[in-house]
Amino acid sequence: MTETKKRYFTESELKEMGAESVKLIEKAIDAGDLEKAKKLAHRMYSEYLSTHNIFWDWLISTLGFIQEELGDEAVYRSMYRAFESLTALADAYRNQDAGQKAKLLAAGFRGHLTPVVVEEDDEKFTIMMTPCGSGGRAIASKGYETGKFAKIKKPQKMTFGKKDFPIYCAHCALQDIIPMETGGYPLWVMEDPGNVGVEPCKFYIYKNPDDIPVRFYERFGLKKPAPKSTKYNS
Amino acid sequence: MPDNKNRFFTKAELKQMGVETVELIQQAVDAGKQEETKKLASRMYREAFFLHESYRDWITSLLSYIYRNNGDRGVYEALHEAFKQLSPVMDTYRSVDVGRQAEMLAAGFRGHLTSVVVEEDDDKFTVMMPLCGSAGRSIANKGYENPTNFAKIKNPQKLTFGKRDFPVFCTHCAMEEIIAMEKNGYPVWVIDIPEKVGAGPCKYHIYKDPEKIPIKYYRRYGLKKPALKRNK
Repeated sequence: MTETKKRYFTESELKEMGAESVKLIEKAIDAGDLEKAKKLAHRMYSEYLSTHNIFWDWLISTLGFIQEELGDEAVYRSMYRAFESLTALADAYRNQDAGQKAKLLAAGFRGHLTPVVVEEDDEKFTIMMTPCGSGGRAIASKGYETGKFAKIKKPQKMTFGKKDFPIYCAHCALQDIIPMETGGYPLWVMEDPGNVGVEPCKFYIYKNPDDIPVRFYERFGLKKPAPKSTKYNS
Repeated sequence: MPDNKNRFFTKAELKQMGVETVELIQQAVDAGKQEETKKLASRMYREAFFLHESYRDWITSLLSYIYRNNGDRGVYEALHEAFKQLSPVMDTYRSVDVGRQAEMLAAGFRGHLTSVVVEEDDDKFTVMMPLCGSAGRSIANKGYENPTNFAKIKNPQKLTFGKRDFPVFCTHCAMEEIIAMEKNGYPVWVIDIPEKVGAGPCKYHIYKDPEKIPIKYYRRYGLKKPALKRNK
């Protein structure tokens, strides 16, 4: 109900429009209105997904611009620069035990607003987004088919040696490479399924970093460091 | 506790780790677990916050790279290309009444994980993030200072609302207006930025009647205010 005919909303409606959904959920629970809490959780999901997708669309477009203006090498360098600044975060992650690392990576993936599968065997964790809420969502949107998004034509390190590789997916290679170059060991290693965007990429966290197979280093032209036997806590 | 000493988690714990938080919230509500619901809502906020900050900083880093290699022109063209692709969002805004437009803009701002202030007067809505969750938080976190050193655009120009040393990420706000005006002659919203960006909230005005959008919002981009049909 509005106070004047020129107004669309009351003062209290305007105030509620500005409140963060997470706070309104708490308020609804305290008021015992659980159905409202549910609706607000969906509202919160929609708000986050909308911003997530706008950012990612913008990112892919910007990477395409860099490729067109400055070439593949610039795509590599610009992403290296962007992820290099996350070394403090990488160091904090490195100091966790493998179980905590798995929890953190799963939480990071859930931030892409998609279901995650976490598996554990004796030597490692395998974590997958099903479907991938990051690069996989861009592939599913058919942005690469319509030419809206760029692909990297030539096989190279950041394409895991593949040709016609979705430009956004190249950041996954950098997330492997930078920790290896700055700290010797990767935080996790990624195995692409061969048909990127169709099947999930697998992210492995080895409980003992010495057990990381040499192929995960060699694909980037790097050498596996000498064992340091840091079993169960890298 | 897992039954194998080489394992950290049980099968059930692994499965739970993969479930989307919004689903767990529904389950907790249905089970009447009120405190659990609150905790999960906070968890979902944290998950989204981490992604939001990572994406924003990644974009800012790429725009900084473009500015340092391609200069002002590069930033303008990169933004123009990106936001041209997002113009269907503007079409969605134009297809609904201004009340709904204000609701949509407020929802979009809430997606930056910050509180929003919405005001209404007879002519317009004014929507603000008191602490801008987009570029403002990056400025507050010293992203434009050592050691991160995101780029600032030195020379005053359209993208900087005529200001100098303007945070590169903030230029997208000008581009959102420019794209909308290029496409339809008039903007969906217009922005008033504070004297010192980041020191106070930017104000987004949605005019109930586009004819009432003051001419200054066109002139700052070197554009003429169009003759508009009355669609009050």
